Amino acid sequence: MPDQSAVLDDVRRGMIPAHIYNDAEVFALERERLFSRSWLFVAHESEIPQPGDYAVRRVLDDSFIVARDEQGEVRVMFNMCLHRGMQVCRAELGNASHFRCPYHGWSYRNDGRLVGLPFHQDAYGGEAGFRRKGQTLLPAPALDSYNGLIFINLDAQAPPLRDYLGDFTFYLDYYTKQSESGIELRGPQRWRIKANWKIGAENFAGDMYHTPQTHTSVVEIGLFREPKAAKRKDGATYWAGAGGGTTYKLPPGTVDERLAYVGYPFEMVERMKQMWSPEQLRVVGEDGFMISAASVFPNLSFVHNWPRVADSDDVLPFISIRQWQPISENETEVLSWFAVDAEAPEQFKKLSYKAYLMCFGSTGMFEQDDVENWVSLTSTAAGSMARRLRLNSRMGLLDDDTEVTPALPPEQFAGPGVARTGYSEANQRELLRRWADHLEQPAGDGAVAR
Amino acid sequence: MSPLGWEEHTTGEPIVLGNEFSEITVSRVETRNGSRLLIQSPKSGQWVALCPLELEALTWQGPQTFSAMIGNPFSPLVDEEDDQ
Repeated sequence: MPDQSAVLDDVRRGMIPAHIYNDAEVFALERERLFSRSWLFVAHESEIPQPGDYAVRRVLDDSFIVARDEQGEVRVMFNMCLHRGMQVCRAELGNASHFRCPYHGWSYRNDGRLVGLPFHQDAYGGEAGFRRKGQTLLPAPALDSYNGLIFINLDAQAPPLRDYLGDFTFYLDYYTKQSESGIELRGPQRWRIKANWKIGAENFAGDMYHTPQTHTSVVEIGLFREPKAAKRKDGATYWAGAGGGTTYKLPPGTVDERLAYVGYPFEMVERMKQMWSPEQLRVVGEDGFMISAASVFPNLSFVHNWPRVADSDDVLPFISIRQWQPISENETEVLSWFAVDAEAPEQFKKLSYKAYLMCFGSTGMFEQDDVENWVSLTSTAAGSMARRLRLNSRMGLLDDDTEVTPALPPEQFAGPGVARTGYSEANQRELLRRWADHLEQPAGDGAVAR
Repeated sequence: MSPLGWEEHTTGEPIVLGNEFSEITVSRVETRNGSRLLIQSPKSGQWVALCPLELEALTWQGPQTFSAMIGNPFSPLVDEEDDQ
């Protein structure tokens, strides 16, 4: 592995060597040092509500069964038969009390325990030759959840998920805890783009600068009333713990009026006021900021927008959760879920889903606009000239690293972490700084080097 | 009796249940004096017709019983001749 310290130093000062967006050696390092010890999202509990419900999800090359066992406990198991390594579950989702390997018929309970081998007596001499007791599909090394979001970590010694997420949970609640029941998910839609995984994560973390340019047509056709240039720079971007995101500045009003402004009906607003802390309500009601896009390091993103869903000035909010699942240095599988509060009225859920489909998902207009940029960037990053170019990611910093716009004081922004208004790439730099810190650290004992 | 013997007396549309590991059909059978539940595997052709008490007995079982049955595919868990 060549020394990457010069690359990491450049990234840390906000001058990104362009080739990191399409470089096999960098990707090998990301596998070994980043994905091997970061908390990675695999599913939401609402995707497996009943005993026996399961979904098959990937983490890089590893396939996992995310299942709710007969006792109701969530399990994440490596989807590889203990015998010859066949994938035990081949369907993307289903409900089963037991899984049966298609190759030789070994069967497992939905908690992973091996319960049967055909011809156990004849082939292995029964329990004397092959003891079934204690044999299970390999569990994910570490498993944890927050507001129903299930994460795994390939490093068994990883710190708890809460410590990893840190203060970002404050912002996660806006997306995932609008009532006691939390969110329910639909999807995911899943498709592949010829783009490096980092680009989407950076874009959602803080790129409000692209909105007026890339998404011009969304405003022109009247789908969206917000992304005008002036509006975006009034919003705050924030970074806290393992994640950061963007917000819009809302017109003057109370918390009720501002939540109604983005399209939440009265009953949902009432529940949000029950669920959110005084500080969480203050960010909306007094500071006047409404969350929009966000990313959690390394590859999970969220978006909350409020387009027009009919030919009127009425808008309706939607939430999407998305994951940038790396396939290689130049290909990413996008998983895009629609999320909605489980207690929302049925009509709201229906219209919110429509709003999501118009904007995001494989056919969404924002998605189409974004991906064209990301694919082009990735393919150009493969050549020899890209190795001579350092991309300027210093927006918001003067030459001597002082900030163009100082961080907002607590009386203007009640949320944790660092927040600022105006255009900047501070969040993208935060994300890539974490990336550089991971790539610098050799794989520990808990993580498997490859 | 073949499943055909039972099938003649099924009522209503059969219920089909499937996942990636299995597919079965379930039908209610009305006999002259009572009812059975006919469970058939279209793939293997194997079937069983359970009376209400057998079905109730299923509700007494834990997952272990079913694990043992599934772990011994296509054959009865208890050899019929053992009981003779």
